[in-house]
Amino acid sequence: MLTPMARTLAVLALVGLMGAGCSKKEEAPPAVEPAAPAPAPVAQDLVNIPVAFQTVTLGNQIGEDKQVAMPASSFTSSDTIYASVATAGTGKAMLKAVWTYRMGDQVTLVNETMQELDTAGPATTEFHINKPDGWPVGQYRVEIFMNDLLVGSQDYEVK
Amino acid sequence: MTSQPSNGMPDFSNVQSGASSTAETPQPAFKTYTIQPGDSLSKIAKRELGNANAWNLIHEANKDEIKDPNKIYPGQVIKIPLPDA
Repeated sequence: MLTPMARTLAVLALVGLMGAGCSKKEEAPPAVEPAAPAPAPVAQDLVNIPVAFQTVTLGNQIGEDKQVAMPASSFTSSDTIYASVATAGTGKAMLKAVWTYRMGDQVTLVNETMQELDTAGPATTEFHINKPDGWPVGQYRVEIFMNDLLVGSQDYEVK
Repeated sequence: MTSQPSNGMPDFSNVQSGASSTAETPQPAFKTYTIQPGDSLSKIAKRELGNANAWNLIHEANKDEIKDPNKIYPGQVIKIPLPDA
């Protein structure tokens, strides 16, 4: 026989055990299948990087990928001259190639060509110039602008 | 044979240019051209695009700059759309 005090303690202990059991049930794993992991923040950031200039490379031939086959800084009078511009990032940008001829302190504009891009990732854009009656021998430069900001340049010569 | 303008620098007025990209290009590449005395859109189209009838392509590309295709002025800088590479 339990005394009233002992009976009360036993009931309280039993309630306590049941309560602990209920609490454990509430803390049980919620789902059989784990929730899909959230997208990695780095990947999200890459998507939102705006278009940025990387390199400009000169040559007299390009491939299907718009990249120069053999980089060069010296050309012949009859060459078509290509400037291959690599960019990273996504979105819209206006690329401009400004070609100049330089003799001492004098600079003459040869050509200025623009190309608007709307890109979803790394891209290569080529600019090219040719002169049907041949390039004058001398020193030249191509400057690449992105949204009217100078981002790169290359000097070259025609021999 | 390369002609020499009066300042002693070579003449690059006949240089041909183009551009293309692996990215999408919302509009064709274009070059800039500064209108000279005696120019008309059809003369520029003939010289730059090889077809005088292509003047309307130039007009279309410069609607903001050229309201009336018969009224262009020396010193105006316009866009010449370039054929795809």
